[in-house]
Amino acid sequence: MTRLVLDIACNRVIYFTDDANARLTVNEHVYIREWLRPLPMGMELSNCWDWKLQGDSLSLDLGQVDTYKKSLLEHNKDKTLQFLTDVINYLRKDIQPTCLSGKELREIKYQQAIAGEGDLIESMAQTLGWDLDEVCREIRFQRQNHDYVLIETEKLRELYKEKIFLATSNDEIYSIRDNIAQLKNQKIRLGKKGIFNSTLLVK
Amino acid sequence: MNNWLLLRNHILNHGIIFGDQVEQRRYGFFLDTRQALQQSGYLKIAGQLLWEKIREFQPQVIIGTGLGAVNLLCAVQIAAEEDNYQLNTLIVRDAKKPRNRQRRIEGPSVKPHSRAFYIDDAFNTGRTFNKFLNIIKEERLDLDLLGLAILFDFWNPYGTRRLEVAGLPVYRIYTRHDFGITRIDPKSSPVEGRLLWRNLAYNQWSYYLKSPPMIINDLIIFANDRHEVYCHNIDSGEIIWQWQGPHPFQEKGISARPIIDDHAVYISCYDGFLYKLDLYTGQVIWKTQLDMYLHSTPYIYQRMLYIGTEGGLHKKRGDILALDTITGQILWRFPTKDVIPASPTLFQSQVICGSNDGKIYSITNGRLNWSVYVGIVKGRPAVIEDSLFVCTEDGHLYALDPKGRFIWHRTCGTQTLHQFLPSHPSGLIYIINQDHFCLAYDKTGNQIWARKLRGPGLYNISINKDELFICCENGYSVILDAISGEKLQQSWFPFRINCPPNFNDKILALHSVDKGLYVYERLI
Repeated sequence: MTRLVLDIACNRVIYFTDDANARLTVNEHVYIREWLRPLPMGMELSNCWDWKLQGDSLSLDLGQVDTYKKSLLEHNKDKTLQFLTDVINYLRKDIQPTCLSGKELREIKYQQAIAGEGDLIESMAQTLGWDLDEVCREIRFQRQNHDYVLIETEKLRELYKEKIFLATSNDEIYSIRDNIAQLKNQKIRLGKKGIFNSTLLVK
Repeated sequence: MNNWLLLRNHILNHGIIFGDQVEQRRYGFFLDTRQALQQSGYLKIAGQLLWEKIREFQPQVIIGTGLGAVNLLCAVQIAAEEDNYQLNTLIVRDAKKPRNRQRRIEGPSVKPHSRAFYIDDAFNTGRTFNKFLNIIKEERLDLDLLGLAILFDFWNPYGTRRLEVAGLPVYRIYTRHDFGITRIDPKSSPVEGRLLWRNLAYNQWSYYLKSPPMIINDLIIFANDRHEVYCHNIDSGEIIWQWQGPHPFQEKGISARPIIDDHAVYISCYDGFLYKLDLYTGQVIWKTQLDMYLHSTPYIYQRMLYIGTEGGLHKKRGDILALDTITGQILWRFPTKDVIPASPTLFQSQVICGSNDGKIYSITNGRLNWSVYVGIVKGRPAVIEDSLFVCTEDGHLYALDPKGRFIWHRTCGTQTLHQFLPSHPSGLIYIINQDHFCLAYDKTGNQIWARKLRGPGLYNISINKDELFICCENGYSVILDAISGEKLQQSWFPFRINCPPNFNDKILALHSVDKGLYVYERLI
């Protein structure tokens, strides 16, 4: 069995492997599809982008010219949406776990913090030299902050997505893009500064 | 040419040295007046010009300190004597002479309260002048100082400008403004008018160089590092066609210049492929994989296309290639010892291209004519008549003859990145360096003019008729007269630019690093 990594936007093949143990990392631009039949003749890792998944078959597609001609406004709307996604991802970068399975671990910590007991939070308290209550409070705060950032950035995303959708002129789009660019400078977080951060752990 | 202009040109050419190295440190520029004045014929002119400045005050003594002033003091004294005027000269030593009369001030005894002028070749922050004042105080030399006569005034706020404010007159032959070493701009003349349209397709990689937009008749061709190529109508901005290269996430994407020739656009992509697209439809006419990576901008002449590659295929380094533009077939391939981000040019039937191995190669029909070591060249050599010019990344400009022999060499900045060396029909070539200067050289290596910019430049310089359009990396842009170097118009754009702009009489096209393509109406 081969696994194909495909681009969501155009269904083209980015990568493929028949190594069942290979760990494939996906992002918002790609998806994985299992492929049981033999791969098309001549398809290699260096040229797999030329193959497109259409229905259940892989077909060679070298004609890269956009047959659908977009107006400049439509094109700029698409590019501004792409930019919005990049900016929102940038704003959410700080709340993402840095290690593998960090999301699950955070959930375990949070559940233990609600219960007020658990081996993970106890070991944290011991490592940091904090009271258990303090650790629980900090974990709850970080969770609130995480949710807050997610909700606020999602609100912004929805707001600008709608603005982009409703824009009727290029000038409007330019101004919307400038506004989105300014979002990058904003710090979106809960008012109270968390006392738990990595520098304490380093100490 | 009058004496003032003659000496100015001479000092600019021989006395102002860009990118010189002193004690293992390189400097943006140095002023070395002795190098200029001690060439035969020029000291006399400097003396005459200074004497003309101070004659009306009828000085009795001229005085100066240090080695820089000695020859000028003599020249002024001789000029005064030729004018039937008697003038005494005093030379102040940096330190007391350890033998003989052990004097610190050399020259004849002068009467107290003699009318005196301080003479110097250059005046920057005034450190030497302050030292001079201390010495004459210590030596109890009683002079009535009428003022200062300076050959080259740096116009430093702590130097002559402060002295003038304090009431000491300063007479100067040249200020740094006369040599273009000033950032003063024509503030009332912006470069750009109304924003006509933008293409918001933005670059995704942080690599330094981006692809410059190209204007051809009423079309603009624009490529970015997402492997996208757009063809716009110049006036309305409407997209006539767009082409998505097959590897949108490939590093660097398209960073070379799209080349337009015979109704086709040639795109060299960092995925190693060279694409030929139809200029009016964007259809791929042919594509050829030349190597694993491609950064070079092709050169086309009479159905032949020349390009350099960055290697990667079969564990080899970069090659210089020739292709048939009709079929895309590779005609010959010449290997070099390192990758080739540089772009080739044609010089008397020789294909000339730099390589990161530091050599310039000359090849005809796949055979090496000569190669010569100059340093890394990443831009494109220029050709004027029977001379070849190459600019290395570390700020050296070389002129070579058709057999690869050096004609001359000079430094032109601490770093000169990716220079494409645009040239003017009058025989000038232009360099923009990381020390915020644009420099013009003629075929014989004379430094014709220099202009201080408000930011560092990559190869962000383009030429149209008699105008140069320069965009600094920080968004500062200026239009210069290509012959005199005079600043005609200037603007600040609110985006960073890492590639040359393009312009004609009506519009300006600028490819920003992270905000897409901007097209403005041109203000004249």
